[in-house]
Amino acid sequence: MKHAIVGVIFLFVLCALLISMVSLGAMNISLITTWNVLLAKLAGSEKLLEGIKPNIVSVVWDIRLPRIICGICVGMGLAMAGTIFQSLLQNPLADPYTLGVSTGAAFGASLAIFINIMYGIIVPVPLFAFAFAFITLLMVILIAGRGRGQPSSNLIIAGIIVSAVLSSGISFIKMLSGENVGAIVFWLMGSLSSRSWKEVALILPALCISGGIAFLFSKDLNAMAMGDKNAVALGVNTKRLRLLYLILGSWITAACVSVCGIIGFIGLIVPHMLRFWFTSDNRVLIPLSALMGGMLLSIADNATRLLTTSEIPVGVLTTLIGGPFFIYIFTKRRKGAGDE
Amino acid sequence: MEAFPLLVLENIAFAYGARPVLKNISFSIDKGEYLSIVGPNGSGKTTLLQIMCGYFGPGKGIAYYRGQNVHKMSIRERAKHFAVVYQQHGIRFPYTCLEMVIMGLHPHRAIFEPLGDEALFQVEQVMRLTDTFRFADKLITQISGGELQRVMLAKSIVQKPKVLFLDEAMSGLDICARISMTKILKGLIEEQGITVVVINHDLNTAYRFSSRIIALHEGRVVAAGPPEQVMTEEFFEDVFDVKVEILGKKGFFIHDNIIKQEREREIK
Repeated sequence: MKHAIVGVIFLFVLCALLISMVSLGAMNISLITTWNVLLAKLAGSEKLLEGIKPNIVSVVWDIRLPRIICGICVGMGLAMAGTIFQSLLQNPLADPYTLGVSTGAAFGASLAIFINIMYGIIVPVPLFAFAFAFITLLMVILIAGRGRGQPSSNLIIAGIIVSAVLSSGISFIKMLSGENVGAIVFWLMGSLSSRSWKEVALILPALCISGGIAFLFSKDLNAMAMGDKNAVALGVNTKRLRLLYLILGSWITAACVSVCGIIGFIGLIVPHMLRFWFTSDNRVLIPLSALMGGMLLSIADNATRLLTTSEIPVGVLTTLIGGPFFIYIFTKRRKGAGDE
Repeated sequence: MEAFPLLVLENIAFAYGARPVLKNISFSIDKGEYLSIVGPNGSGKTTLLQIMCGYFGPGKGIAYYRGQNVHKMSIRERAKHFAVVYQQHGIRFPYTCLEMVIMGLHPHRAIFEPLGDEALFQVEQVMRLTDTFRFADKLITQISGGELQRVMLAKSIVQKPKVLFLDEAMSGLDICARISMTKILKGLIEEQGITVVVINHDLNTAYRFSSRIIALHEGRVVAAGPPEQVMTEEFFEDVFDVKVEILGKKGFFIHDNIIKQEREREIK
């Protein structure tokens, strides 16, 4: 019950953030006007738009809103993917970024963009991103399984190795792109600026479907978080569940990366904080982390949008904040009693 | 007693790659037994237990539970009959002890089935029995190894198994905790008629509390029967390479000379 109330509060805050963020920006638009535009568009009533300039409607509905929704969706997706990866791999340090899945998706997407620009063949960027995200994840798990030492640290090390290789792959693609390099570079930095309804249409269905499925099996994921043997002893088909969640996690990550490049550490920070504040129960954690991830990234994105004139890409900001946080968890984990 | 044994192992063999671990193992377990599996390190105890509880399949042979092939039962179906307590858990998430114990209900609960009063009452009873109720709200990352092991036992009892397997689950516990855990298990056998299969490194508690002992050595069953019949001076020499004195029916005293080393010295 307590968690349901928290969920409702989070949802309320997220909606409030959405509306207030839409009203903020270079062009001064009041909250009431914003509200009216949103209401009019959603209800399809032209009446409410009377007296509001068409350019304001356009700024609210066509420019700011899709970008902010994109930001919320990406934050939701990354936080959810982080929760899934952490529970699935029994590793509090796992997230799409530290496991190299984001880089994998970025490599796939860069490759697709490169093919699109250089050869004029239209290949679907999200599909490439997903395929490479999934392959990367499998490779990381495979390498980690072969390594000696602690399995959980192995995963992160394998993530770094694969990530490094793929990063140089991305550099190579950039080099081959020559003059067109800007298209890839800007997108890679992890920015949400000038995202449109097209991107919303790409990420929203992926987020809803994969999030829904992830939530549906979250009780099994709880058992999985106790390790394979314990999960099997509790009646969970770990092989099937692992495959399902690996696909879901990769899919969500790929959708996020396709929309706005690499944004790091959201998936690490959010589930960690929620576990600390509330519970480790994935049935609560998955929806709450989605809501909190959405809040966090939209705040970060709008901070970069509103406070800086040249718009720092939000990925830069999250990594700047997330990096030290990662160090904090890592050192705390090492000191923790009963760890491994 | 049921007419048929509860668990039957028929010619079980298993190898890790080319290295055979279990060779042709056959025995049966009756309902209500407290069976200890003993043997030196590397004798195949854990592998055998994992085959019995269905975690992995045997290379050869069949394990039956009430006439059903254990490895053809669904994972969920198995979890309704078998529970396992392992020695190490490596759980890195801050679940509370209560959340952990409730997880024992997993095989009996639908995905979003709310926790009924009856189930909660049962959880409380089990937590009181295992003396874990007083720290129910503590995080499992903050309790001692012995406490965690009791929580894991509580979780397995809540699972309402017909057979409870313990894979060296008492190895890290002090003698007092070991005896109290064994007594809880004995109580469960008497009151609920469950069957307990324990891998035991502590030969003294195995001797005192088991209804039967199966001894493994180099992947074979070398002795099986009541403790006082199995645990003879020859048995200790052959299987564990140590000399003992049997103290009537009270147990045994282990000397500190290692027979293999002595023999090697004599040969030299």
